[in-house]
Amino acid sequence: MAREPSESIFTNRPAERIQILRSLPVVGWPTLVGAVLLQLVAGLLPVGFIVSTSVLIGRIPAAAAAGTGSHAAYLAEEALFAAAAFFVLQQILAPLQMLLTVRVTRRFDGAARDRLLRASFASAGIAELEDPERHEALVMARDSLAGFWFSPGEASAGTIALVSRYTTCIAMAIVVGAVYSWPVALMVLAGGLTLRFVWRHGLTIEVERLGPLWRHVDRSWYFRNLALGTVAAKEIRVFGLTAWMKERYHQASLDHLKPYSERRWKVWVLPFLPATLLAAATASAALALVAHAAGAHPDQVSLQDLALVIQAAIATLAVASWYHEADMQTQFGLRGHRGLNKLDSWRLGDETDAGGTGRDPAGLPLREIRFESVTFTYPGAPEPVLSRFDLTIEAGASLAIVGLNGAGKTTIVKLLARLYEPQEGRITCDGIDIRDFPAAAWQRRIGAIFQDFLRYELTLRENVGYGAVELADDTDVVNRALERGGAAELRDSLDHGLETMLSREYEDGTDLSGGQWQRVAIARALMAVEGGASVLVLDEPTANLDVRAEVEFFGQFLELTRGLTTIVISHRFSTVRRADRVVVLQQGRIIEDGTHAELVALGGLYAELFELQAARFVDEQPELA
Amino acid sequence: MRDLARTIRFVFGAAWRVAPGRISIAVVLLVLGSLSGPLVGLALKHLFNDAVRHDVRAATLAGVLTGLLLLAAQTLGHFSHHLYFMLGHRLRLVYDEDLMELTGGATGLEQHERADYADRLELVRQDGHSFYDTLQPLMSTGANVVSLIFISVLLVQVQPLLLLLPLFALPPLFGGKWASAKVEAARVETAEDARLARHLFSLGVDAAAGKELRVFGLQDVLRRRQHALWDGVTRRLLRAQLAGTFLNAVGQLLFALGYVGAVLLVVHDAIAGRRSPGDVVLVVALAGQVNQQVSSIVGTATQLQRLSKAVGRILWLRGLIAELEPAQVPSGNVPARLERGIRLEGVAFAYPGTDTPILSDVTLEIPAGMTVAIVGENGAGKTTLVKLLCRFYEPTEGRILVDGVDLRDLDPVAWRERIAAGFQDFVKYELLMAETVGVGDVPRVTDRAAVAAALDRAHALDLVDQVPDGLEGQLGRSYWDGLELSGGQWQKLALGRAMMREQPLLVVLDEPTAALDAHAEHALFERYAASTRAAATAAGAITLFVSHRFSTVRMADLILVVRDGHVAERGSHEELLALGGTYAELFSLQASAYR
Repeated sequence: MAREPSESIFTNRPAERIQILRSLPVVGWPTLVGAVLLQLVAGLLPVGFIVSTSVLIGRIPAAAAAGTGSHAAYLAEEALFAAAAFFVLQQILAPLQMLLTVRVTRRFDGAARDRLLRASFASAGIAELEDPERHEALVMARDSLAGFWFSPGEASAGTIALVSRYTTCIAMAIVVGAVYSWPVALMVLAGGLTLRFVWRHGLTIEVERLGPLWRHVDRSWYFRNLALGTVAAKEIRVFGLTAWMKERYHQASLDHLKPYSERRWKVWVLPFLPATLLAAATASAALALVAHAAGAHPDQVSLQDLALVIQAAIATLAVASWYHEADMQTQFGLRGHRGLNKLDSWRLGDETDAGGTGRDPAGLPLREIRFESVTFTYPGAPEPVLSRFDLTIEAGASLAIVGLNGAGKTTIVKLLARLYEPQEGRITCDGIDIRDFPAAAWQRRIGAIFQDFLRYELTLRENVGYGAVELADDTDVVNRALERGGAAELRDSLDHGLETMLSREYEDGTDLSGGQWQRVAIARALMAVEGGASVLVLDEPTANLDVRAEVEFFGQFLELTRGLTTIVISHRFSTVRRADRVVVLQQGRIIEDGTHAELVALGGLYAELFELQAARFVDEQPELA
Repeated sequence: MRDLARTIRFVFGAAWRVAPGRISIAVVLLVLGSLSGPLVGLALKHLFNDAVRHDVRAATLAGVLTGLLLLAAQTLGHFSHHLYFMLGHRLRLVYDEDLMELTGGATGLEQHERADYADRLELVRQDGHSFYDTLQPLMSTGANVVSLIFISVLLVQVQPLLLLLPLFALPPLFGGKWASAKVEAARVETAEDARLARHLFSLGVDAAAGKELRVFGLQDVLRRRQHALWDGVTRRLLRAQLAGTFLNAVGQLLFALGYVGAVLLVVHDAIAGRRSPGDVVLVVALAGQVNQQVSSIVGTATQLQRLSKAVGRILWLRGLIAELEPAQVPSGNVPARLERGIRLEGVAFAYPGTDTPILSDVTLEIPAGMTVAIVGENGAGKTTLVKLLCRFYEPTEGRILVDGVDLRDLDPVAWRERIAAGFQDFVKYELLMAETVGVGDVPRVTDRAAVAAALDRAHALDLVDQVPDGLEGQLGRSYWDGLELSGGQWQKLALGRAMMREQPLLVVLDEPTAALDAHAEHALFERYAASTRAAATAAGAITLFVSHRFSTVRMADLILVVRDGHVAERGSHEELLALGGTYAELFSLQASAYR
């Protein structure tokens, strides 16, 4: 299935433009007013210029007749200097316009980025972000702000830039009308605007209708990046994939280019032919009329008038062009605006939901956390992962969850942390539905290592300290978490200790190995415990550790989890067997429940899995001894 | 200038080869369009002179002509653009396929270790975003140059001194250059902060990252930091922009003075009766365009420079890879089956550009048909050994013999066709599931039965039933709305891929089961042991696997413990336990979980 933008995204464009205008004040009133005024002045200066040059041209015959040094020559020169002044001002204004464009863009985008983050964080869980409609809006806004296309800020600056273009066009048409003839002015304006409309319309179609064709480009890009990147370099060679990938790239590209080329012809060439002819006809007619009038009736249309009308008509026609400072920006940047506006419309609802009924979870759980007949299906998935699922997690003890891949282990943790909400049933903490707590307060009760834990491009201190950010400046606490997580050695090996930047992309930064990152993630979860969290969630906490480090970590397991409600997910028995209690999950149901010893004695799935592994070790015992 | 000539040859050469008709029409339209602008000035001159002379017919005609030329100037370029824009897209394919051939066709991976290669390749990859635009800077520069020359010709006829006018366009040019250098410097200076802001921003809008950010309550911190970084960068950029604005304005001012001087000269000539009012109109209309043309040329000059650099990078990559390609013609044949086995003689290896040996003086004999496990701590050189056998790199010292023939004497492509491989950093191909597996043996990529058989050998056939559309299901979400698999599921597919080739001489499995659970791993190895035995008897294949898990390792006929670039211990499981070295120690550590 192709990821086609939904149709609703294309609708209501004038309203969208108005929304852009409404959101402009976010750049600050002085900047906004300054930018608009500057555009207005920049739009009017050409009028001053053509008026003064026309006066100049009109005065030349008299000056030529009177000769150099005469009063008439002085008057001509006077007009010339006026024209010069307007020209100079125009030239100087251009860089200033540029400055304000950058200012408006950066400020608007800065605010837009924060708006997007706020919308992204509004919901308690992450299911909202994965909702297809929201995801689409999010991606649209994100990509436009990440610099892939024109940003909403550029669209805003582009919208402001239109002021000078249209000011000039209208003012010039007025000059033609006032000096010569209103019907001719309208004619020229109509020709120019028709052509301009075809431009603008072409661009709209290009972006809105032809845009979806670009999905094939995404696809061809995938092959291109795979072939040119380092990720697949080894497999490309071993499997001899170059020719195959080239072919796929070529095909995916043509899948796009062929229809694109045909559609483009219909948009960018066919409608341009009549529009160009119309504009050419009106322009020629207007210029011929005024030239005829000036030649035939110099008493009615003076030389000065001729110069004025002709220059003004030409300037009016200039409306029919490509605005490099505005057209792409407004058209493409509109997508970012769209995404942002849509996300904002959901934000308030999310924020209300995340508030709960305001009960305080501080210090909980004291007795237990219970899953009560919980049913959960991932959005879009055909089958529920958990169905009528019951589980009691005793406070202050450790629970290991074992099961084959896809049995629903991680889902339990995600529901517990309110990253998703069950469709049926409830999760309670000491009898209180966890939805009654403010989501953020409940989530802070939990310290967690997820399988895909984050690797912040920040210092070691921040990477650990972000487990309890309010304590991140407290070096003792951070060090304690590091030491308990087995990362003290790592810290000491770094050139700048806690303050080392953990990415080589930064000055004095360094890259960590997978195992080292894992220790940092463990330390971060323990930092959350320092910050008061009493539920510790460890989802495959040793996946990236080598044998020695793993054994070391689980040697400390009991000490680390003392007094905490611990949930550990692992397929390593060295980990699992140390838990106070083990549950075996199969297809969303608990099929075995007990201590390690009890389950081994039971002779079920757990015992089978354990024996499988153990068989490879236990028969060596005599030799090892 | 030589770069420019090379770039023009490169781009137009390709365009001519792809579509000679299109590029010719595009060039003609563009030239006509760029001549029309200056011609408007000439038509206006006649219009005014005719009007002043009261030659009504001529003036009217000049009016009609002016209108037509105006529109020609405004739209011919557009029609030309349509033609070369689409052509540009076709050219992109040509360049890209050339590059793919170049990077993927290279024998080894040595170039990947070179920072200069990696940097340039990365840039070339980024260039791709604008690569369809290769014609655009050349075409618009060409159009502007034509216009500028024609304008100059027209102006000189009015007043020879006006030939100096383009000189006045130099100050804005240099002003602009300094200005953008200042802004660029600020950009470089703020690059780290901008990068960090981008990193935090992308974490903030990512659902997966959202899990941890929510649990640790980092939403506000992240927002604040991101915003502060962005604002800081903005402040510094705007400061540079302000300085740039000043430089630009000074440059523009100097041109404006030149323009005013030019008009003044002609006005004086006109007052003195040497020139007509039409001449003044011509100069007023065209002299101002000199700056536009020059600044457009300068504007596209940066694009042109970028293009030149991009072309230069492609040519550089081409040169480098040609240079690194093994010079000798393969003299040996890849054997149909392994008789004796693979022998390493005094093999040493250091990554290109480093002095640190990863392997030193490794000598060992792997008899045909044997299953070998390599164990050792991270960074000990296990993966490097695998890479040398796949001939991604050449040993710095010593040699590798396949049935007595130096690996260097074998055709690398033919040798690799007999390798089946699963790597630790396997690729998550976002293709149809069948293709994701099938690319392990390209000639049979569409052979669904072969794919199913390979998945069966990898003990991953159950995966087909677990996902909608089975083998025909689209995987991955980065460009298509496909299915996202778990790490373990991806790994199973990678294993299936490794099982595609049915007659390998060498099977390489570099930590192939790290993401699988105990049950899956066990089942896999039982089955695998059975199928390798079949392959081993058929072709004398050697299986080489790297693993941390001793439960798996102990199944091997021969175990190599690699430490600090040496093979520290070698032997069967029992022999190594009896030895009481590193292997025995690590084994008992892991066994402790089951005691």
